[in-house]
Amino acid sequence: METYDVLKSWGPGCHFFGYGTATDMDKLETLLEQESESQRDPTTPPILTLFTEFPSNPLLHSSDVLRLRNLADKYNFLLVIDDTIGTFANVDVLPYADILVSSLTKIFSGSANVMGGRYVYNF
Amino acid sequence: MILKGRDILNRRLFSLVLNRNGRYYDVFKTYLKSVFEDTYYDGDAIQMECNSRDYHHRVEVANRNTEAVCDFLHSHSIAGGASDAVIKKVFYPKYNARDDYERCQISANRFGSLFSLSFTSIEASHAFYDALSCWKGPIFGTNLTLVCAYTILSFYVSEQEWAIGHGIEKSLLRIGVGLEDTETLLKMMTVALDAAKASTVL
Repeated sequence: METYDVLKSWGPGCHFFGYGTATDMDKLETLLEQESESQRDPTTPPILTLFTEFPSNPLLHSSDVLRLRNLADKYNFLLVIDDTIGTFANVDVLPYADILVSSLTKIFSGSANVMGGRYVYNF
Repeated sequence: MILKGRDILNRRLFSLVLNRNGRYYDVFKTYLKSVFEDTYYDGDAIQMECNSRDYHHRVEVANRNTEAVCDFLHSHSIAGGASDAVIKKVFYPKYNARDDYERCQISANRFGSLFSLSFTSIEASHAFYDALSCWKGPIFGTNLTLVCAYTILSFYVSEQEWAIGHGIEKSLLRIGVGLEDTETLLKMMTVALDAAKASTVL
């Protein structure tokens, strides 16, 4: 939600597909087609990045990340996946993501007595 | 390979992994190298490292507990086929978009430790929440089970209609399951479920 609020309030704006279902994916694809190079209004920024959680908070929905990966390749945007809820001991989303983000304040720490962060490079 | 990092967004602490097969890997890496500044306090780094040592073990225990609890609650939900149930639905990757979850699931029965519940009435939700004998709190992933009245806590009253329009029902409770004994958790859920059922009997 913070990403959404920040982009809305201070960024170039964003589109929100709250369910992450196949219907939402169809809407996303229609939007990407409308915004593709040939048809886009040149005064607005292109779609740069798609953020998704795997699975989502709080409805625990997992999107079709294979389809998202294919769309990202076709329409040239970045796919950022947050795997905090799945957690990397349970799910491996990196093959589909350009960037993987996770909160370490959750189960990685577990004790709720520290907040911490790190960058991880996949060499 | 782990490098140190820092707060990226709004006090929530994140790690960042780059896919080296990604098209922008070199661009990101060059940029991050040029702007990276280690502002992480040593004491926090040491505590985080200590906490993380049994991460894999804790994830397995929490996975098992959550699956037991969710199977129990799902069998008492409308979505799970129960009649006169007060729970509408258990939101949990085992029952939600499972094919899409399994595409990334590392091995069987790894569904994580977070789930949500919706109820047939707000009264049932209140009764369940009040009777659930765990700590109440807005985080998850903790070693102790935590319940959160998600819709009420996460959205201002003015935003709640918007949330409800996106499938986040007002009765929604989100539960992060901890490392307690499984039987203790099942007993806790049974007591809360009974209280929720009693709340709807006039």
